Amino acid sequence: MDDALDGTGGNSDGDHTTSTDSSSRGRLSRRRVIGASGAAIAGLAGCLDGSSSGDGTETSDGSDDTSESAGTTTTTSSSGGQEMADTLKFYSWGGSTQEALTEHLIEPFEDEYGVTVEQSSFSSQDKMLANVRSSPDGSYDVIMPSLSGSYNAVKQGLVEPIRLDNVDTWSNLLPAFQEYNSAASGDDHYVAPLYYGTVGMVYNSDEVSGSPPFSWQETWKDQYSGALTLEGFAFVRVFTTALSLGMDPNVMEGDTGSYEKGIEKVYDAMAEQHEYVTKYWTSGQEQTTLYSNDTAVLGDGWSGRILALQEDGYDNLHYTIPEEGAFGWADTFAIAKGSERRYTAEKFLQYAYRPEVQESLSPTLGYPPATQATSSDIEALPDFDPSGGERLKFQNQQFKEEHQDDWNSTFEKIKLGQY
Amino acid sequence: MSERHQRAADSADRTGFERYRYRLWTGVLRAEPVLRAIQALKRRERLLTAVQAGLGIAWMAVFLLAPLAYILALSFWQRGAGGVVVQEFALANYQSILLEDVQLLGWQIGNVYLLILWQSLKFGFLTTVTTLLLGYVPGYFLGRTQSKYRSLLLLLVVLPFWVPLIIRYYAWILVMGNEGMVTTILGWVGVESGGFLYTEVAVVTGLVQVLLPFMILPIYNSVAKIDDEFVESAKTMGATPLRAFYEVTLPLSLPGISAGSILVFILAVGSFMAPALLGGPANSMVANLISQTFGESFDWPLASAMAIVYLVVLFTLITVFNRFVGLEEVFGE
Repeated sequence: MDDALDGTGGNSDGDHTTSTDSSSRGRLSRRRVIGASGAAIAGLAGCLDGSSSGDGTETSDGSDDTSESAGTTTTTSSSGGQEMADTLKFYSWGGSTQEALTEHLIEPFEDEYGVTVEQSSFSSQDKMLANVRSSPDGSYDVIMPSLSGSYNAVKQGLVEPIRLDNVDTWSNLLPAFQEYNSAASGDDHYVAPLYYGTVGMVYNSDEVSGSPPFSWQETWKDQYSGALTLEGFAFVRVFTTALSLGMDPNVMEGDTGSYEKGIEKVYDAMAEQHEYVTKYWTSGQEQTTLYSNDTAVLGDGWSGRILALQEDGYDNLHYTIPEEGAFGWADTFAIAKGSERRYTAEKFLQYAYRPEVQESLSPTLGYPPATQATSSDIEALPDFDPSGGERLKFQNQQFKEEHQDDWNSTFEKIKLGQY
Repeated sequence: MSERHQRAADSADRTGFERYRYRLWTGVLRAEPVLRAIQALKRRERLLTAVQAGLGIAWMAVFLLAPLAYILALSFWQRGAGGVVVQEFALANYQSILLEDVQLLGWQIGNVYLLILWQSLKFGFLTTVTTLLLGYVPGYFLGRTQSKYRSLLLLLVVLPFWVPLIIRYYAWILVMGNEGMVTTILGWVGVESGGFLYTEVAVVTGLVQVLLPFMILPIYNSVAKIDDEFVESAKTMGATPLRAFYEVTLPLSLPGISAGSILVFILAVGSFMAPALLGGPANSMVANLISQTFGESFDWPLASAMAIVYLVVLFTLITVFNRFVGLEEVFGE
């Protein structure tokens, strides 16, 4: 558990990434400002803003208010000023997440601010980003990328920076999330984490003996051959496998001394484990089906789905975070590119971070809030982290971007038996 | 003003308006330029045809050819950091999907794309052969039968289309799953099995069920067109029913077989949902790989190159097929 969230953030401050940090930041803020206002002077200001703060990389401890307010002055004019709009176009996960958001966040927000929230939903992170990318600017106001998707969203210019001055409740966010900067976007914050979870271990106590804490090594036992299911994304597989081998999944060296040797060890382990896998799941629906009809008795999954199954009477299904830790994820709110209702969107985020909103929303969602709000219901959630997010292990998105081509193609080879 | 008066005035207004509208329309339709245009169209049949076909062609151009052209252009561009598209012309995408991990001399192919493409063609072929075997008899029967229930039976063939695809595949998960129907029935006869879900068998079974009507209907269509007298005269000249079928009916139903096979093959090779829902880890097909490259890896250029290669391979196969069978004959008369 020592490779906590701030450890990940620390990585992106490392020596070898500093230069890319500042250059990408300069490019981003330039694109943002030009995209938002089109004014040459503002563009110049953006360059200066980016390059002048570029050498001050150590500001990622949250003390970034000065340059943020500079960003505010250059961009306000284009986004309709500081007044509430009548409507807000909201694009979120569908299904039970959307139901929970509607009841505990959107309807109360509409009542209080007199804003009509127009909802649309998606069922896959990738499709959502592709949709935002190919829609005209301003088609959406608030979108819901996950932390892992936010890197791409920022790099592709799909999201606007959040002006923290307009979000009075930003300080409610857990410190680990305030510091987390997935896209190394410098002082700009592009995502507002809403809740978090892990890809932990799921087991059927009728078939799996023993009791937690389990080790991920359990998923390499041949007795579960043909009854094992794992999440089918290469980046989750290498991460979890590295954890089980005792490696830091954001360096992937272990005691081998180099990334190349480390990742080979990880691939070998994945290929060995692959022999036991009946199906790699890629959606919540799929894992629910696999565990509920006994096709799989062991594997990984999302706590919210398992919680829902337990409520439906599947008392034999359990969720646990293994002793090596688990892949951490978070779903966030972000303001879509070209939004003309940025201020309203920011007020929406501000509202979402209120403790009373989180206290009612979080237990219905089944995932603990990214804010400091807490209650006995929240503490009872399987993914709740009493250390305030310190225990969560997040993937370094730059590390992922650097290597995921290789991870994907090797994972495909493993699946085809060609590794 | 009394209420009655009010109503009378209202209706007078309405008829006045109706009359005005009528006059306006007749005015427009009888106007010299309009009349002349209609007359000109009537006289020039070829122009009329062009206008009618033009709508369809324009639709295809806007919604099929234009996106395809974009995909073609995209396939030569590159992926930048975070999935940005960099408009730099290079053949790198094609190189990586066609040449990477391929050692021609020893015939060692470790290239994921080629392996999965090969697998897709294999599934497509298996599905086509199975649907042909299963579909010929019902198609033949429907084509020859004089039964008054023929329309009802035809309705039954297309009935599965009323159930959404995804629901049919989910039904197969229940049928073939661990405690599904197949395992249970096999268990009664004493055969122990863990079910066929997440195997090649499951993918092909699902595809066969879904695509069977596309085989039955063209076969029915061409068998129904066969003149009874041909078969009768063969029999009069001493052919056994089997020989009459083999020498007369089968060759004459060949266009139906070809049309059905092409439809089923194309739909099966490009299938996405069957391998995703019913297939195991090793049963990915080309559509799944493209979607994954497009979505998960956010590599639109590479995914486009994959789509183009797939398109070219499929087009080549159909052209070769055309050489042997003659598609004009199949889809023409």
